[in-house]
Amino acid sequence: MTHILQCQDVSHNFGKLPALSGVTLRVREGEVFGVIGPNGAGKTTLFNIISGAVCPDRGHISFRGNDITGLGSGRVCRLGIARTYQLVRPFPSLTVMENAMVGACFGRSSSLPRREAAACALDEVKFVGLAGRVDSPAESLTLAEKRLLEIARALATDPAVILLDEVVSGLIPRESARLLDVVRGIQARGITVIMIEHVMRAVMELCQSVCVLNFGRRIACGSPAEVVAHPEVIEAYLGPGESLPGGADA
Amino acid sequence: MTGKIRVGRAMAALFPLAVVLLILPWLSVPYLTVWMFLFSISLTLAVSYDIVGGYMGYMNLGHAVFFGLGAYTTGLALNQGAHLSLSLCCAGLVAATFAALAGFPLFRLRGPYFALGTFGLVGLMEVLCRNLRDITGGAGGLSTPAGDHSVAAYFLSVALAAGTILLSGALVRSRFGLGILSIREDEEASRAFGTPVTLYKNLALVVSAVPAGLAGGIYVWNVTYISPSSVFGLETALSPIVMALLGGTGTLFGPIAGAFVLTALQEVLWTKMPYLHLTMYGIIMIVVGLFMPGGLARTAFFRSMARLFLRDTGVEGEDHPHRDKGPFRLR
Repeated sequence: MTHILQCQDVSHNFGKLPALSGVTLRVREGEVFGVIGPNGAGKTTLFNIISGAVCPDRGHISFRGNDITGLGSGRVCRLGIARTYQLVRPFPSLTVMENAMVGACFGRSSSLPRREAAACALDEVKFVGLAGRVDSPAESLTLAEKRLLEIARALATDPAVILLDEVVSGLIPRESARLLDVVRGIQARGITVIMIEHVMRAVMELCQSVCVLNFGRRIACGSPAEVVAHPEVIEAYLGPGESLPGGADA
Repeated sequence: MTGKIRVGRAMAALFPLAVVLLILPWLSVPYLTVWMFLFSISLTLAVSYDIVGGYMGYMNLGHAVFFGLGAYTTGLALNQGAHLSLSLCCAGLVAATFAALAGFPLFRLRGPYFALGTFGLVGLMEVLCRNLRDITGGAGGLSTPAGDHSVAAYFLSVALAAGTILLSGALVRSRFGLGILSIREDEEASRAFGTPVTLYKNLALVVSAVPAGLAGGIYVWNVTYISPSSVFGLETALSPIVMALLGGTGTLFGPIAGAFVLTALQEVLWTKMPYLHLTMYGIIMIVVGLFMPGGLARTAFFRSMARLFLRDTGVEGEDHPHRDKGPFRLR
């Protein structure tokens, strides 16, 4: 497998606070790549940088071998990297269908006319299982449905890479299972998934590779089993002398 | 989904209206013709304001600038002996050019800052018109060649209002319309999904400026006199906004309903309490904000009326068992 996305030595400061320092990671095409780490580790900042919303102070992002650092979020999206937001941001008073259509109309590499955008938006709305709510305004959806809608909006841009920021946090088990099924479905379509996740069970189940951030530094990278056995990871999460759930016997 | 128009029903309802509008000038109620003229001008302003103020969510308190520019441009062109059609073309062009230029600095502002920035333009224009005496005639105003144009002006204004309503309805159903709606909802997210935000914001301002400029042109042609305070005054600046708010911004019916109610109300207010009608605007804005924040168009009565002419589109041929109806769309 080839690397579809690479972050090379990415650093970013907010004022004097280093949010990311020298993070390097390589994502292979077609895999589910997990980014984990305690709160404030810089995970969402990394997503903001990859998706072009934030330009890093130092370092480069390359996508399919091309440097995309600082291109701006709209262009990165049209190149094929779409995202969802940790605190959901669907367009609240637009309907489910219209939300997905924004992705299809403007987020693709070649822009679609509205009629075709509607057809492809509808496909994605069905894919995430919101077909029954096409005419509902996004603000009337439950949190799980809003997350699904954000995924549909991102998929409607026909991405090669999708960035999922904590899609299962705050959901009841049944809803989490539904979201995770969708993530599996995305991978089955050949789309590379990079996901930030706190729920370790989800990470262990879904990801082929995991990268752990702590205080803006990459402290471990590898398969999920390797990572949870890594002493520095255990220390970051639980303090010295403990083990992560799933880590000991994995 | 933006409501699809039930064309048959809409035609059936509009046909009698069209007939009445066509024969109105010959019904020997000149008062009504004049009222319809003023109503159409207000309607054009309210509906065109709502493209930027309602659909895109940028409260443009300076919409009257386009009206005033159109009026002065037409007035000056007519005084040079230009034909009305040429003068109106100039009016539209000047308004559009001004919008394109003003958009760049103004759209760096958001929310209340944008509203205040645009409101400043109105004051600026009034001061300019007062002081550029050689061109505008200063505070004394500008007179244009007299003549009885009332019937032609009536038809022109009604056609302009109808055209503006069609434009606004078509716009919001287009790809561009989806873009400006998403800008209103969440500009950053919209940008992140590839919407050409800066281009669309400027384009929306240009599109809303043209009908306003033309309205100013037709207005001066018929009224034959304008002054800085009549076209750039507080009342001209605020009335289209109050109309859109009263009727319900971001809907097709809202500005129409608001313009109708307010223009009718003005007739009463001017005669009964000539010094207080501006106070009424303030009171209306407060009352609407407190008790009817969605405007007339979002009240139960208007929704049921709109339902006669619009339908939720959903997905054709799609019948999902858990399909919920969802609140009715009014766009």
